[in-house]
Amino acid sequence: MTHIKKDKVAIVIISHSPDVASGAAEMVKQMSGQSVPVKAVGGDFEGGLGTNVEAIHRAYEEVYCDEGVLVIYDLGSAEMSAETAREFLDQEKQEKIIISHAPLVEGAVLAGAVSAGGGTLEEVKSAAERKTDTEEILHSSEGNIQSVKIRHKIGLHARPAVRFTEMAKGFKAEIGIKLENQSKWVDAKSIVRVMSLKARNGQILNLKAEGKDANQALNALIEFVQNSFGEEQSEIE
Amino acid sequence: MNAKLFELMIFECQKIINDNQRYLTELDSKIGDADHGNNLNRGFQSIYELSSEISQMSPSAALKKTGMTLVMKVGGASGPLYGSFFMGMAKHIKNDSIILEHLPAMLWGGIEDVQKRGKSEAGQKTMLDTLIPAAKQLENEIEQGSCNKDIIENVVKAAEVGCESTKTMKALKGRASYLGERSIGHIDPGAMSSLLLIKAICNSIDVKNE
Repeated sequence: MTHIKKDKVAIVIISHSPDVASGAAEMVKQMSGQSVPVKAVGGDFEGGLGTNVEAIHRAYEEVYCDEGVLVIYDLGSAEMSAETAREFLDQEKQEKIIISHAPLVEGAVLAGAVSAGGGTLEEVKSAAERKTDTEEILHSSEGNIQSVKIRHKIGLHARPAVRFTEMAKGFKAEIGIKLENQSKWVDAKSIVRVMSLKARNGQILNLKAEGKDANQALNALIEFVQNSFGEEQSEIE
Repeated sequence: MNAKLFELMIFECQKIINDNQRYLTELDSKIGDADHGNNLNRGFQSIYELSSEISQMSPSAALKKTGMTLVMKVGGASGPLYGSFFMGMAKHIKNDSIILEHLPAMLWGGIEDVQKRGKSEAGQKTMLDTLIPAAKQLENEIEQGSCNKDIIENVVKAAEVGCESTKTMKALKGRASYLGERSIGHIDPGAMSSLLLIKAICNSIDVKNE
């Protein structure tokens, strides 16, 4: 087994089908790189469709880390198996394993993205379940709008999206973001919303902010995007 | 409760599940994923293989081991559910011995854990629709001071009625609930396997009293 550096929230994907579980895990890895421990568990004892508590328990033990583990499952009986397997662990470990009812593929990919960006277990769970506070924000305002062009070959992808929202959260101002050709502003502090923009290289982002530190917020975020999200282009796989 | 009786119970349970394996799977193919018979059989086969070891354990350890084996070997929903049932009974044992007067409390303990695990209650077309009437009947019979033969007969009858009642129910839990109205008209496989196990356990007691 390859050594996994345990500093990110781990993800366990449980499906009745081994193919579904490993396929979903592959999609998580594609987006989140190797930094997030992901374990797929699928199938019954004979490799057919079903769940296997023993295998789920092993998966928990393998990926467990202090940052916690988010578990995503496909159907009801997998939830029961996930819960039962968790009870075999020490109380301390049990508390750091959260079983989420997020949709399997989409939830796992979102969870992976937020975990890759250093999100906490709670944040990873919220992202997987697409829990966001505001649908649309800043309807009324005529606030200060600024534009910036994305200069990064794979766009505003998972890791920078996490850092972008973290940065936005550091300001009191309400901050909206959208693509220039779209009309709906979304919350720049929500990882799910920012990622759902799917902003690509060369596209123009609009940012606007309202509040005392609105100008500082805009300056910082614009600079972050201008500098290719602080990532060296050559670093990107 | 002695080792020999426990071994006999395990044998009877294994036998009845094995004999009805195809029937259970057939029931499950109507409203579920067609694996109930095979899955349960695998679990009870494993318990049977451990029966000489299990029968030497204290009652609570034996029930725990039984539950754990079912959890590990059965899979699906039935593994965790039957596992919770036996482990739940183990938790409610008094003085680590099984006597008739304490049996209802143990059964209720097992039922409670099944309800918790499955987030379910009576009337939702599940194993609970067999187990709950059986436990109630057992409690009544003991209160009335019935003889063993009557207790066994009436508990099995109550379990049969309960199991049969799932036929007209609409499934509200598990895979069967995806079928909605179409789940009506079929006996729930879990309710049936619970009935079979109750029958097997009662059979082994009957044999002993002869």
